[in-house]
Amino acid sequence: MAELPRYQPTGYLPADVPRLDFANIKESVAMTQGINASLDRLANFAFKEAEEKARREGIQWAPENAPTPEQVLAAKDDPDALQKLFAKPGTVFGDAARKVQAIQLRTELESIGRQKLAELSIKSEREGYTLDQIQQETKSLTNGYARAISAVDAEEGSRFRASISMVGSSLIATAAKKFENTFVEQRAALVTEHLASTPVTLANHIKTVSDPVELQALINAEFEKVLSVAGSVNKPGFVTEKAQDFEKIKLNAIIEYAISKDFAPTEIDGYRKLINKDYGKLSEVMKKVNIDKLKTQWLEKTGNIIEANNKTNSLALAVNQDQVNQILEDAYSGKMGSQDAFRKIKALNVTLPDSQMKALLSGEGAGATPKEFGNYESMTQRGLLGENEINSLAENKKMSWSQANKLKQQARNPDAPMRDALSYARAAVGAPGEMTFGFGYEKQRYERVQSQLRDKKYEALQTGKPFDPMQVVKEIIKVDSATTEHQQYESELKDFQDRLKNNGIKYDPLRIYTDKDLKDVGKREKQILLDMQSKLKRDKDQ
Amino acid sequence: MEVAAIALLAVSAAGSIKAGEDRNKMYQMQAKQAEVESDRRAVQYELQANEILRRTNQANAAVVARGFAGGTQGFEGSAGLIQAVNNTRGGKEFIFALSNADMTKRSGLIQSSLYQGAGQIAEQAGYFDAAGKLGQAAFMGSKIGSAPSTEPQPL
Repeated sequence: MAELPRYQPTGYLPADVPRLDFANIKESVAMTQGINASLDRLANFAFKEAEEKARREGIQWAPENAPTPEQVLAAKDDPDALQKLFAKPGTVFGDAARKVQAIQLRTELESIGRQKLAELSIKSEREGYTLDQIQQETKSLTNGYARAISAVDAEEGSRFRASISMVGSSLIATAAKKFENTFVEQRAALVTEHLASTPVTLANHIKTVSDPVELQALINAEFEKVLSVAGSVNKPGFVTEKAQDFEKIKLNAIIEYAISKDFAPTEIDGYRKLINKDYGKLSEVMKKVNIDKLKTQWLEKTGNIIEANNKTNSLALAVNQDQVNQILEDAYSGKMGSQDAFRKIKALNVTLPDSQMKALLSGEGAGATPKEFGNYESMTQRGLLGENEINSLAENKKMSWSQANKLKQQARNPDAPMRDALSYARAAVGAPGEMTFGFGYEKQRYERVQSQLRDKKYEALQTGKPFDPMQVVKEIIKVDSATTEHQQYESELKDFQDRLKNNGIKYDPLRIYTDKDLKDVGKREKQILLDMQSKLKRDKDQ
Repeated sequence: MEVAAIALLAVSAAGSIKAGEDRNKMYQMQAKQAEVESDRRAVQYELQANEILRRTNQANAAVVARGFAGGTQGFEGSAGLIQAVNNTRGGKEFIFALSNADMTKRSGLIQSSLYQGAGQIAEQAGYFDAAGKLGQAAFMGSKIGSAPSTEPQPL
């Protein structure tokens, strides 16, 4: 039997529960959050207002309740007692009050500190303090007061230290200068004392030592002693002066020995031996002796001995003067070689003075007279003659090449005190080297100071007044610092420093701030800082 | 300047109220849409129920016709039993379809009421936001201050 047809299931099942969107709850949450945010904002306003009020009250309260410097100094070794004198930190009121108290304390202690340093200056002058004592007193004063202020407010402590250190440094610098002068005087006296005993020492050496090399070494050692002591005296020309003194003493010792029986039977024989270069054990010593100077000094010492010799020479010269002059003129104008000229003059039985003979042989005598050369030298030092002009003068026979080379050396290297003064000026105005970017203002200022210094030097040379470059450059910088332009620059620089500080960036005077350095500040603030830096001519474009 | 700032805050507060009202309207529209959507889906389930009924009847009719054609009773014996089984199976699916239609309608109504509630809350939020802004404006206005009046005071 066929199967009966049956109902075929469709497969429909109960549907899933539809997902509901609980929008009301979401809205409710959003509304609550919105209300909370509004309330938070209002609460913040209220707190800020309360803080501001507390700060104002703290600032008003502080001056009326500020501890006196005497109280602070009495309690400076007891931290707890010291803290109790000031408002308690940690609250807006306390911090504000404490800051004002610290500023007031700093101001008062600065005043007291300056007064004490002034008293110290007078006392040190009167009682003859050493430099160490002054440094010690200044340091203990600064440290003691600064520690007391720092215990309350480290920032004010630093400010006090910076402010009072300037006064202290000035005092120490004055004292150091004074001690330096005393030291210089003592050293100068030592040199003089040493030179006083040198004639005896040299005479002994010449008398007792027979080896020429050893004798020269001993005399040289004496000379070195004088130079080493004289070199520690920071006085221009002192070393040269003392070296010349020593030279005179040495010549005297040589003359004393030459006129003694140990060297030759008579004084005239001694002189002749020296002129004929028969030096004996003085052979090494005489290598460094200027024979002209020796003759002059001999004349001063013994007078009549050389007079006879000179008379002989003068007689020959009187007879042959015209020929000698002609020979010299030919030699100086380049028509005749110097060696030929020397031989021809010698053949006339005329002995030229050593200096003239040397000048003739080296060609120095050609060209400018000493007076003219002096004028050229002066012009070179004023910067009126450059190397090209000097070359031109030498080519036109206005001076010898030897003289020209001397002047060119002077033109290339200005004198040492001037160089020192310019180095000082560069450091004082804070201008870095020419190869460093930025610091346009400082460089301009350095140029300004340099120009004024050169003007002053020229003025001094013109009027013949003494000129101390270091003293003058200090005065120029002082005057320049008081100009409106510089004051304005200082003020703008201070603003720049404050703005950096407000943004939590430490100011470094030798730094040029870049985008990278200012990455943590806001975009607008960064632009302001970069503009300020550019206005101060401290950016890399300068 | 301060008047302009306060005026701007007041305008912003009005804007908050308007935004709240608009959100409320949006939710009301969504509520209607949810109801319509649920009705549409319920009708689909009802159509399914009708289809199930039609198929059950079709199967039973075939069984009855076979029974009578074979010389037996169309409503008794094995024919009756098969019809009972068909009714049970078809009835079960029919009930599912009706239940689905009912559940869909109910959930549509629930979703609609949720949207209506959300709309009311959104409108309230607009008012609260506006109130906060006005409060802020009042506070800031009171903090600005100005120079004291120089008019002569009554004695």
